[in-house]
Amino acid sequence: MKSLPQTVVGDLQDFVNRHLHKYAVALVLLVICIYLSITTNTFLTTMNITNVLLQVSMIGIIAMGMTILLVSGNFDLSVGGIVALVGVVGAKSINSSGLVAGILIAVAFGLVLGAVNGVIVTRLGVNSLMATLGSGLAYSGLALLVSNSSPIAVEGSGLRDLVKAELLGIQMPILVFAAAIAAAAWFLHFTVGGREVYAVGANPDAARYAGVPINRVRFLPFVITGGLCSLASLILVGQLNTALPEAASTWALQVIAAVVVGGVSIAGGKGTVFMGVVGVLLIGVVNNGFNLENLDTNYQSIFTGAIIVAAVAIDTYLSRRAALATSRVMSSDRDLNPRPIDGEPAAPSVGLTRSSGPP
Amino acid sequence: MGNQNNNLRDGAASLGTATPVLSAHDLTKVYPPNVRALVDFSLALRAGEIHGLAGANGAGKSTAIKILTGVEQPTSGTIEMGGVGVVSFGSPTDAARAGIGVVHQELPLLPNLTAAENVVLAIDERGMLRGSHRREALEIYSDLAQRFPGAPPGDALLEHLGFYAWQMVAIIRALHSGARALILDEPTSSLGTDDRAALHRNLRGLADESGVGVLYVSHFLDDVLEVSDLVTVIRDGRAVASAQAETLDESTLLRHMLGADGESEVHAVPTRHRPRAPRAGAAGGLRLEGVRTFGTEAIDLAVGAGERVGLYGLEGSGAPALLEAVFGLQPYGGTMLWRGQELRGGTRARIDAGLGFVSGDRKRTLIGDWSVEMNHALPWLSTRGSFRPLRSRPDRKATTATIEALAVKGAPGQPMRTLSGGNQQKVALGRWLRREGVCMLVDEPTHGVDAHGRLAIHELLRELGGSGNALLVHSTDPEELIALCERVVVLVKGRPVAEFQGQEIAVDVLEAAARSNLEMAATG
Repeated sequence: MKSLPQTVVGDLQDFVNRHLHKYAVALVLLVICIYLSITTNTFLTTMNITNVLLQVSMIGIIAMGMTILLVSGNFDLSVGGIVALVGVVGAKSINSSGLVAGILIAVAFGLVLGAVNGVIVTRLGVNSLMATLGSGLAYSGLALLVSNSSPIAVEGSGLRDLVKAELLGIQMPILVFAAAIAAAAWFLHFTVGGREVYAVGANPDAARYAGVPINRVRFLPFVITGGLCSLASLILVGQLNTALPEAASTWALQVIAAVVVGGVSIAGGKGTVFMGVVGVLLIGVVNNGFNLENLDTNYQSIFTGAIIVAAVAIDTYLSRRAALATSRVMSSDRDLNPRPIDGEPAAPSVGLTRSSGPP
Repeated sequence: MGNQNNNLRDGAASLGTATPVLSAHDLTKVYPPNVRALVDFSLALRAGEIHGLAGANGAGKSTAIKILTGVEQPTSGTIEMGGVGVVSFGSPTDAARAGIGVVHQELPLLPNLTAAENVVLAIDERGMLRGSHRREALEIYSDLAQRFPGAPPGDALLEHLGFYAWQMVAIIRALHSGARALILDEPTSSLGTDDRAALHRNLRGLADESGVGVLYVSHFLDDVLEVSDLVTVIRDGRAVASAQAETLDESTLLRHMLGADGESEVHAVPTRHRPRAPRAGAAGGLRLEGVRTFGTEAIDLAVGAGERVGLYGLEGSGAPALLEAVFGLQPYGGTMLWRGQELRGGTRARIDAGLGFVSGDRKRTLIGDWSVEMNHALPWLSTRGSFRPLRSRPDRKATTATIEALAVKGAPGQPMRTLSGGNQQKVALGRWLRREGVCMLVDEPTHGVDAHGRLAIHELLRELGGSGNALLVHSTDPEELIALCERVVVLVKGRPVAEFQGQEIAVDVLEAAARSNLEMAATG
């Protein structure tokens, strides 16, 4: 009789351990929102919320592509370069061929730039970090070259009107962000391709042995990210009605930081669109909070930096506990678990742990 | 080989009186909420003794190792070191300092350093890496290494050496750090027959000459019996039996390992396959014509539908590469046909054509964090196209069918890594059986699988061959091929050197064919 409640408590603990890490960041976001709602009377207003969403929308749109890319086991540091180059080329195209053709050219160009990244990584076998660091530099340089290093004004107000347009009282950038979330969630969680992205990110060998076309699966997220970058770029150009060749230079790190803060693993194979969205919103709400509380903006970077480090540290800790809890609940036999060597804690992910045996 | 080991074992009779270097008293380990991995486990390891610890997967072997090496702390019970008294290990460093050396299946050595450097690199009290000078290191190394015939030279880079050499270096390193009790975890699971015999000779020499106590943990019963003085069997976390190795044979040992309920299954062990006449339409199976890939010469081979063919070869035989080539994982030259159609393209095309592959390394075949169902469904996703929706109902149905048909202990939603090795292997095999008439390529079907699971997988593979599928198996274990195959081809250095059928297939025949041709290859 006495042991019964204890078992229940143990089960509950295990359940929490197994699932907490998935929603830890969402809880933090919720707590910050509640705090800001109580301490300020401006946070929980339609205008402020709209404002936050507008501010994060461009980063958020790209973050959806970056989430898929990180899950597939790759990075894209060139998103800033793509945004700048697509902006310049898009502005010129609108000026020369009209609004619709210009937008189509810009989107197609973004897809092509993403595809170039994909080819460098999958065909030439260059590590994605270095590949996109290089391509990003080249794209930024091209943006300066094409624009003669000066802003390009968009003729007419078509693009600006489109970006400022509202549907059911919601502004276009937020709608595009929402559409990007829906599309990314559909692809990653409900399609065959999404499942294959997880497989390739978690264990490329296992994916290959199961006949998954791993190069194609790795290629696609680069193209998706390129396309989403061009949407974000058109919004940026439309807001100012001008394309700035030096725009978005810090976006790559902002996007990656947001996605990782949300809990998407940089090691690949783990993370959800929900996590990516939560990460983007968290960064947006924190920035908003600093403004509302009238804090020195210099603290903002320090605080954001601390959040990034803390989020990853907490995630590592919680997923290790989750892995332990799962194996304890299921069985005492942990054949696929990485064997602890010299007391090193077992890594939570299986596919990434390489044995140190001979080649 | 056998004679030599018997001679060696004669010297062990007097060891019974020696003081234990390491003894475990009533070790119990309970994982919350209430999993008893180890229950009142006691064991005494004496100086100069090789003590076998045998047990099925999940019996508590790894928990015992973890506690004895300080990775985990016991819930109750004590560990005593000879001449020191009761000790408690807060960490693996504590255990190492007290004189416990451990050699795992995966060796934490650095491939970019030499054998000597790996041995003298040690971690000091402050946790800093510290190394001796090169010449000093070489001297220390060769001093220790001369006891081990076949140990690599001190200046050899580890990345150029095979698994056996790595293992020697790991053992020498443990001795250099002052190990008096040496724990070996599944030491033979990656070794061929010759290396296995050499390892056993070296362990015997080590125990006899230096008085180190060796705890030899394995689920290979023949290995345990061959090398040990004393054998302890662990089952459900308890030490259920302990006896001199001479007094034991494999079936007694197996009975202890499986417990009372395993008794009937022991008797059901099929000693020999039923010979089977080649089926009609055997020509419609798998044909390899002049297939040449990494590490093999041009190979001709045919496996009829309904036939079970084995490839016997030790490390360097090229058999795993050949299987991978057939599955489109390796580039190759020559022609491959399945059911009269030429096989072309990559892995996807071959799966669609009716091939299936199970690698000997489950960490590379399965995704441990994924559920059984997701792993089961993975090969069948691409047939539906990237942007098609996932359909979970057929996957769930197929997974449930596999779980029932192959008696997998696990649920569709359970993470793969929580299944035992044998059950994982069943899923890895079963996921290819959504279709009739497949060609299964299996590399080391029971690598790291316990005795119980091994029988079940052998049964499964035999049935598979019986129902019109073609089966091509590679194993470094002749017993396994005897249990599975109607025909065995012996591969040496990428060349088929002999072929045996039906009753001709026997352990000594296969080993002799592989060895004599290996010597020929070396001299010629």
